[in-house]
Amino acid sequence: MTINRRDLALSTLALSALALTTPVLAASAEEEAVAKKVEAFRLAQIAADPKALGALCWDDLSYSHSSGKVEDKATFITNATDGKSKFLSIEYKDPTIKVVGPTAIVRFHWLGEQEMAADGKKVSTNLHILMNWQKQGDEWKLLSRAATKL
Amino acid sequence: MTSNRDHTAAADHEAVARNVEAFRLAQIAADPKALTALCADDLSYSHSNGFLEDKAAFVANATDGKTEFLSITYKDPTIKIVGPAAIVRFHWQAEMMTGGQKVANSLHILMNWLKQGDEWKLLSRSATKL
Repeated sequence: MTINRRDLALSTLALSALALTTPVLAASAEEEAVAKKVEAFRLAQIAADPKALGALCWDDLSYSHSSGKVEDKATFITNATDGKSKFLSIEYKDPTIKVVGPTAIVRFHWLGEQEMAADGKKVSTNLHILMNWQKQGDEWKLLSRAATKL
Repeated sequence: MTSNRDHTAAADHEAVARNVEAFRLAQIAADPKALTALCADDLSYSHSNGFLEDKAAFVANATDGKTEFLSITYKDPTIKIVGPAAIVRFHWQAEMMTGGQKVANSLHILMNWLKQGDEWKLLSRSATKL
């Protein structure tokens, strides 16, 4: 089979076109992958599921609260699952996701309702959240998180 | 004998620390050129009230002269390198003149720096009142 110059030119053009379109496709596929993980994290927080939370976070996780309190991965998971309070609901309102290479900047308006186990008292929280996700191999995992009161 | 990886990790730590300090000085000086050079084009910068700025807005607002920083301290900074990213946290203490008044604030800051080529650049920042 001979490949003539025209065939070569056409296939080169096709490959170039693919190269031009692929980055655009890749970016939104990554955004979708991050969005899935963010939603899984929200559900894991409500369920207070230590296994799920563990799988979604880097071992180097740095997690902070609106008080400025900083937790490492072990402390975050312990405190998020110790049963001292129970999330009745958590909403991640108006989320934005920006993928920059191997990292993703995620921001949203957190609306939470908790019930304290000790006295049944209900607590509402209204926060602006910044999450930084980073790809570990093929998986997006949470690397850092910060919050501020609104 | 330190391995190449240890050497690289230490070099990264030092490079981030240098750029964090340069950023602090650039904020005090309200220097748009310096701030621009230190930030990624995709910068996402937020304040303790949730106010969010992209790179252009951040540089414009940080250098429009409406606020003059008398001092900014980045107290007890911590830096953690994780691959191409650096997690930086510190206790921000600043004094500024704004609207003819002297104002002080105290914040917990989270900065996320990203290595782009050979340079560490600020990619995102958030703050909460202490």
